[in-house]
Amino acid sequence: MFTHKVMFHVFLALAFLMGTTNCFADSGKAITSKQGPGLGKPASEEMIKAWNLSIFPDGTGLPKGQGTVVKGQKIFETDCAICHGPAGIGGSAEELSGGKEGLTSGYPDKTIGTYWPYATTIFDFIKRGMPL
Amino acid sequence: MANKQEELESISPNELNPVAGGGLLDRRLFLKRGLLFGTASAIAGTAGTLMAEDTLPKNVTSKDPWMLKPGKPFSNYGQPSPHESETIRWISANAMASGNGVSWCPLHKLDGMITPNGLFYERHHNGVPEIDPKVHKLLVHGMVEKPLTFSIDALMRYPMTSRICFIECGGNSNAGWHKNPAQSEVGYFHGLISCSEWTGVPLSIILDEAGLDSNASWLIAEAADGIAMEISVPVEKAMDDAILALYQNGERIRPENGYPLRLLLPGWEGVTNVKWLRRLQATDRPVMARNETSKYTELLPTGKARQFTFVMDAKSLITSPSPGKEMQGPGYYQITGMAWTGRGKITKVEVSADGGKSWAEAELQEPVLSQCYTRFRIPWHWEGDLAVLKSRATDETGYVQPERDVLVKERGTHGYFHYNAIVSWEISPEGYISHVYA
Repeated sequence: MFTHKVMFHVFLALAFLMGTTNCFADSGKAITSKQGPGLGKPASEEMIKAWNLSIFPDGTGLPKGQGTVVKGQKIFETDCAICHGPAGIGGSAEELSGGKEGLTSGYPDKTIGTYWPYATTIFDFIKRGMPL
Repeated sequence: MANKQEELESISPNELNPVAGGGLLDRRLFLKRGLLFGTASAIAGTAGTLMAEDTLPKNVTSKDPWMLKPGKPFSNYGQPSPHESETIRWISANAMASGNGVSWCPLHKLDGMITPNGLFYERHHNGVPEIDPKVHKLLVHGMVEKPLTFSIDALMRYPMTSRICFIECGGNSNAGWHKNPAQSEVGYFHGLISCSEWTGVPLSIILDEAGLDSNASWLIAEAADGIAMEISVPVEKAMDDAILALYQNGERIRPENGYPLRLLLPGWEGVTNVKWLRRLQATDRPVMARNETSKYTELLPTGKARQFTFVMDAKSLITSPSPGKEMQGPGYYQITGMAWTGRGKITKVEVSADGGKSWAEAELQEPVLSQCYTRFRIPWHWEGDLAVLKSRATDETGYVQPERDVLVKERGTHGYFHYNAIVSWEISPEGYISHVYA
């Protein structure tokens, strides 16, 4: 009995050592802590298409569509002006227009016209979350 | 245990002499066990204030009132003492959209290196989503061999790792760019930073499982909040030390910090540590989202802007004494504060009490960890004269926290983000503490 007890302690010590080297047994196969149990489910094309909101500067991801300045102004007046101001300036939310003094002036306005490098970003941001 | 006299005798007289202007003392004095500032004061030959005798209040017996009856029962989730009701986050939100804004961590009320979960700073772009963890999923797609989804239950079965690290908003301390020094308690000026122990699944395990394309150089990370906040992150960081965090300070991440899943990028600006993580898309270019073009970029005096400035530079500040607190007369004080750097470990914090003319090295509280708060402390004898306190951090890359005029010369004052200049507190002879540019 004594021998068995000693053997059990040796086993525990070995198990502990294995633990400290970041190995553990899974169905008898040793794997490292750098590997997971592989529980990711394949994502369907349909799901990816529905979830993928990314729009890149080259237009990748943009939906098909068209618009005019006149139509845009109507939408702005209805959905945006209340926070951004009737002319995109002076509201409670971010300034959208202005910035006539440029980015090297004493008071540089970082507006869409002066500081947003890509038009796709404007479309993307409005589609994602505007109005708040 | 050695008696106090022996310990005091083990302190050489030189150790009690100031090591820098304004009365800064040797940081090692803290290590002398049992040393009391009052005793040191007497040894150093300065007149200790004679304290009035403490007497028994009227109608009080040998026990205080709360010793005379049983205490309150157990609680399912503990709360701070009602006497600490002023230790709160200060909220600055958009009047027209209450979920858009920040809440500041009260750094001036805290000590140590861990931020309590309920006081961790917040920056939300459109409120805190109420996410059902049974419904929430993470989609990994784009330039991967196998696009996959992971439920939270599935992620909970993955090997996890823990690390203590800070998250700092890229816009923290931005009032420092103002022409005149802002007067505010430290936390409500510099408190868009907090530090937690984070536990979760190394992101590299998940990306390996999906089979990341060797040509993928960016990951677009997207949140499940009311603005589907997205940002581009280089794959190199994602494979290096990024964690899909599920726990914060031992409990599941709080809703305002990304429950149930947050992307943790140690040392990188807060906005890249995407909360409520829903989607990771591997690509070969950044998506040029609003928060990496028009925001979280720094306009320079030339009219050009810095972009993808992910790493938070070394920074430090003194939390005590600090504005909003008052000095209680001349005598011994412990100056304390914290330092951090996104580039690894803090190696040195120097403190000045004479506006930067001379500096003394502060004691760094162990453990000193990478991309983590490092608490510093140094004893100080204030003579009651005008003093200007500063702290200056150095990190393991050799980077030294710059003076404000140096930072402004390099970047102008319209960059808004990444302000990390040395902070100065002026102590008036009356004991008032104010923020100065010095």
